[in-house]
Amino acid sequence: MTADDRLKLALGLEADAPPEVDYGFAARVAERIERRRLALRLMVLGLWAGVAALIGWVLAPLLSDSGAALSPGVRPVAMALLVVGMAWMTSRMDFQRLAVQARQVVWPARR
Amino acid sequence: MTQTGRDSPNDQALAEAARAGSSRAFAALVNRHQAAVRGFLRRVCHDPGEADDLAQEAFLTAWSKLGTLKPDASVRSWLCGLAWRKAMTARRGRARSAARDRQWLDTRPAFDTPASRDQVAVRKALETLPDDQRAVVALCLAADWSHAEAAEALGLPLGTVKSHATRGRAKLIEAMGETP
Repeated sequence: MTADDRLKLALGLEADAPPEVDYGFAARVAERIERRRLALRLMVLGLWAGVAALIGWVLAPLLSDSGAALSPGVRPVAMALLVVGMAWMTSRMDFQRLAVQARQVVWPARR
Repeated sequence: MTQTGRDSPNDQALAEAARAGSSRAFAALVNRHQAAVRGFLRRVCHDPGEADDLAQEAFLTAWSKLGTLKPDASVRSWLCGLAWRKAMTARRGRARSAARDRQWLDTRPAFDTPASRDQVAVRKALETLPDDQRAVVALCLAADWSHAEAAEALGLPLGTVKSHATRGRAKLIEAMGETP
């Protein structure tokens, strides 16, 4: 047995090799990925809710005038529906494209 | 363990699908490369539990950085590169316990078979190698990676990898009592 064979053997013994297929390991990785994916979704949702709340705050005078026409029992429901609707609408907007267009308006020469 | 055929265009197709949001494609990548990544980390870290934790971290990072994978890159090398950086970060964090580990190693009961004596000698010698050299030994000598693949994974110049492999081999062989 050559020195390289001995070395190869020793290195092979050095680490107990993991199995070629290990569904347990893959499942643990998948679980952690799904957990992270959920956290990211919640974060994005929170961001959109914030944007919707900001728009709601800006439109508050208009909304309060409209709200005065509603009966007091319906107002909270109308407000909740409004916030959900705004969150949905803002989440569907293409802000990146909007930012590009705004930049082109401000600096027409830049691309 | 020859794995040059593994990084077929299939890997890139899976990575592309995973980038588009397919969990199944990413799971397929994990299944395909987990043995290589975990085997590499186990040789570098010596603690299989820690190595597997780091491997999970590496795959998690890979999932979030799929966009940085170059179209012509080897997925296996990219994954092992991520794993290597994870191992280095963890190593910096546990520098203090290294001395304790060495002490434990010295108090382990002696083995009396030639193979296990070689194993202990090689393990001790591996611990004395610089980090980069140990990683090159783990990839090129233990896992039969080509020098080019190891260079890509570890982000080292090809010449450095070759010299690390030569010096690492010489030190390990010397540790077994042979002449390099």
